[in-house]
Amino acid sequence: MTDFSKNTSINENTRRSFLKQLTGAIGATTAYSLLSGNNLAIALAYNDNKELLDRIPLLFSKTQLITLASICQTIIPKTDTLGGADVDCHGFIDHQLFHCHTEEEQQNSLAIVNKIETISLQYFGHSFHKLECEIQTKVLNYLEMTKHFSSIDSNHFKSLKALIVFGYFTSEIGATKALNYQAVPGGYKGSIPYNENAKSWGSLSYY
Amino acid sequence: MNEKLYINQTKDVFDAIVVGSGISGGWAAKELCEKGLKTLMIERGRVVEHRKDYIGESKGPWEFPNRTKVDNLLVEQQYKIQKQCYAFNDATKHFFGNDSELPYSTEEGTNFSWIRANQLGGKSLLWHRQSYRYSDFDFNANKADGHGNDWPIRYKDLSQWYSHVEKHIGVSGAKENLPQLPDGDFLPPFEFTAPEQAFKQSLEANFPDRKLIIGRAAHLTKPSEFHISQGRGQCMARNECQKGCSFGAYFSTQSSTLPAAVKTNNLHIAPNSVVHSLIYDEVTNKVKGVRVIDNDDLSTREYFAKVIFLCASTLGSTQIMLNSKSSKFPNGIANSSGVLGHYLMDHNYNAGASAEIEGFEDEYYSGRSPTGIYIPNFYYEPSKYNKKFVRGYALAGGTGRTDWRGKAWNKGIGKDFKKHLTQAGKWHISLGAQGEMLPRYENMISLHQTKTDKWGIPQLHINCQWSDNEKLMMEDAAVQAENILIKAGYSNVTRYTSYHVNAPGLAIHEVGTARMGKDPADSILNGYNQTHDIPNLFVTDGASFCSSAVANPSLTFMALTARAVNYCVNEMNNHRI
Ligand SMILES: Cc1cc2nc3c(=O)[nH]c(=O)nc-3n(C[C@H](O)[C@H](O)[C@H](O)COP(=O)(O)OP(=O)(O)OC[C@H]3O[C@@H](n4cnc5c(N)ncnc54)[C@H](O)[C@@H]3O)c2cc1C
Repeated sequence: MTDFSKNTSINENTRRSFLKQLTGAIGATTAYSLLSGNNLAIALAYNDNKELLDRIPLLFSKTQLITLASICQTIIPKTDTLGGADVDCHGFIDHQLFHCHTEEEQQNSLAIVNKIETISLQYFGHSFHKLECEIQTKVLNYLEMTKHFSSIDSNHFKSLKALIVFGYFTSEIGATKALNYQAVPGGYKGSIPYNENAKSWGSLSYY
Repeated sequence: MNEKLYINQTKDVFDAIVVGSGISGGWAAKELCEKGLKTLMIERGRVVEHRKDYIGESKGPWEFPNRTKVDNLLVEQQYKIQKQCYAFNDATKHFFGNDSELPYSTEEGTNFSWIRANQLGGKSLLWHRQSYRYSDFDFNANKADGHGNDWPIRYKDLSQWYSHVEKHIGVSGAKENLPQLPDGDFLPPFEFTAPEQAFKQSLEANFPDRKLIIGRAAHLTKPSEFHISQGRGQCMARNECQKGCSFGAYFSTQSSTLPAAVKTNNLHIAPNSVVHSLIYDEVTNKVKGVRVIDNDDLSTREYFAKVIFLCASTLGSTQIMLNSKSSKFPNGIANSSGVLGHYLMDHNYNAGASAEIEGFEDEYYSGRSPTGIYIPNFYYEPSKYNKKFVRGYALAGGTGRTDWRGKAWNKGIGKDFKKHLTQAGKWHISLGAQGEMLPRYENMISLHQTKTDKWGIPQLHINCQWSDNEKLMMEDAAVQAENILIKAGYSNVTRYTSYHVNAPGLAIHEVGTARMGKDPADSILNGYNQTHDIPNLFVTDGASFCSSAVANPSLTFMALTARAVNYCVNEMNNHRI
């Protein structure tokens, strides 16, 4: 189970829901032409300082988002650094799928979140987010082993998991605390010693 | 903004006009200004000021709304073609052209990905900085195997100009003494990783005709006094160059040629000025100036000069020429030969192989190398050609340790998986082919009969395809790359070809369409990039190429440009222009 930072911005929510509604009503392309590229980008800029329950998600329902948050935290739990949901991976995923992914990828992600919830209820009698951590892990392990889940489910999960990992390690905490971040390396060395307990570089060239 | 530097309306007749401010235009302007000519640089796009306008620089991924990815809708509306470029992302997108405003058509059944960067600095802001000299095997290739026309120049004509350019821009590299890839005036090379060093040994032992070298790149690994005095600093190895570099550590117009030109007080710049066509005077057989349409408000104006250098990029310069029609030149200015627009080439980057490397678990690297490893062309003369095709290719690549981007696809949930993601993983290596494309008359650009852009300029119509020679070459490159990696003892070796997916254009090394040549009957330019037909008109960008050669072309654009300016000024001083 997870706790989330509290910080609400009514304005931001209003704007996002306005845009969501506008998009729903007149189609994304038209909505987009109404608002010049830059303004829209700013208006829709993803911001992680959101209280989960106050957020108006773009793609997931609030209930689905709660499930997704627990999935994020189960895959990347809190250790000496924060976990997936702690850095709002779920909120990021809702945003990212909406803005940068295909409709098919969006549907697949929704489907797998629903399926995880269904299986949790069916086999463990509770919503995924209410399960003990070990059971949550078990459910997701089953998914990867295609036990109780189909291989299609497993493939959808693979993509969602990759997006969660992306969300985590491109967050500030993920990139700079969970990994070793060199903003300005100062030069290049082709050979330095490494041992497996050291963190790898979180500062990457994104091509 | 410097009020005196940037101009809009003027009645002045300049000594020289340079159209374009990219790699070629920056060099033309610098050389002309340094030789004392009052020069006007005309640029269709906006002003991009060094440092100030690098809005994507120095930000972590979390500072971008979509973590460096670009919004679907924005891509759909403005960047459908530009998005195909590997360097296109949320931190760089403002340096790419807006496809919706820059339409062009392609012949049915063909495709061409035209990557544009229409702003002060052009593509010099976005380029990957790989810088190689061409050798006599390149300049002699057309003559040797009969494809295309003979280059009117040889290495000896260009070598001093390569040196001149390299000293100014700063090129890091190692001397290798290779016949097919002449050494330059280098700054210290970037380092190999430990597996790269081992790979070099295995490659050179297994294949005596092949060499592994470090990629030569226009970065200041060790700036000279001169570089420092220009406000440039040492490369910090961020490898985020395409966002712009406030250290001025890689060569761009902004970091290098523009400050040199400005320093002379001979430079003026007319930004937001789309050159529509050249103004030609039939009586004197000279170009007098250019017709310009304002980028923003579409108003028109003219600029005048004694000589004109077209440096508007390969396709940009030829477009201007095709659109400059007169009764003497009904099919485009200086086109008495009729070859203007023909012999378009790119490089073919559509094959390669990758593998995993066992071991080296205690080895890592620090910083992000802006270059990679490079295996120069080993089919560099007819006697060395593969039997199935002519010309050859280089293999460029790199090594690294797998990070979370690869590991994200592995199985695992929870604490151990998190740890796994944060550790440096297995070493991997990849090699990608960079193949030569033959000059073919059929691969061409022309003006569209009816379609115009928002400035009223006829759109380009492009007809360009890979020929069987290019396809066979890529098939071989995939197999050779695979073979090299297998012989090195690597595991999970996989190869690919992608020429069926990627049309020409994506190597962003488009050249040809206003080629040089000795014979005015089948070429546009002489050996000094001067049009055969009109003495005061020069074209010094990639349009002038007779063959694509194998290596990245821009260093050669610079050397040709500097040499052409030197020739032009000499001709002016002797009243032949
Ligand atoms: C991502 C990327 C990586 C690359 N990597 C390499 C590399 O490693 N090595 C290499 O050698 N090359 C590389 N290139 C290619 C290199 O950038 C180009 O070859 C080079 O910039 C071309 O220089 P240019 O001055 O001729 O054209 P450009 O740099 O394109 O500049 C042309 C300028 O002319 C202006 N212009 C065009 N038409 C008009 C007009 N009608 N009126 C007024 N102005 C006009 C444009 O706005 C532009 O500013 C790369 C390119 C890209 C995009």
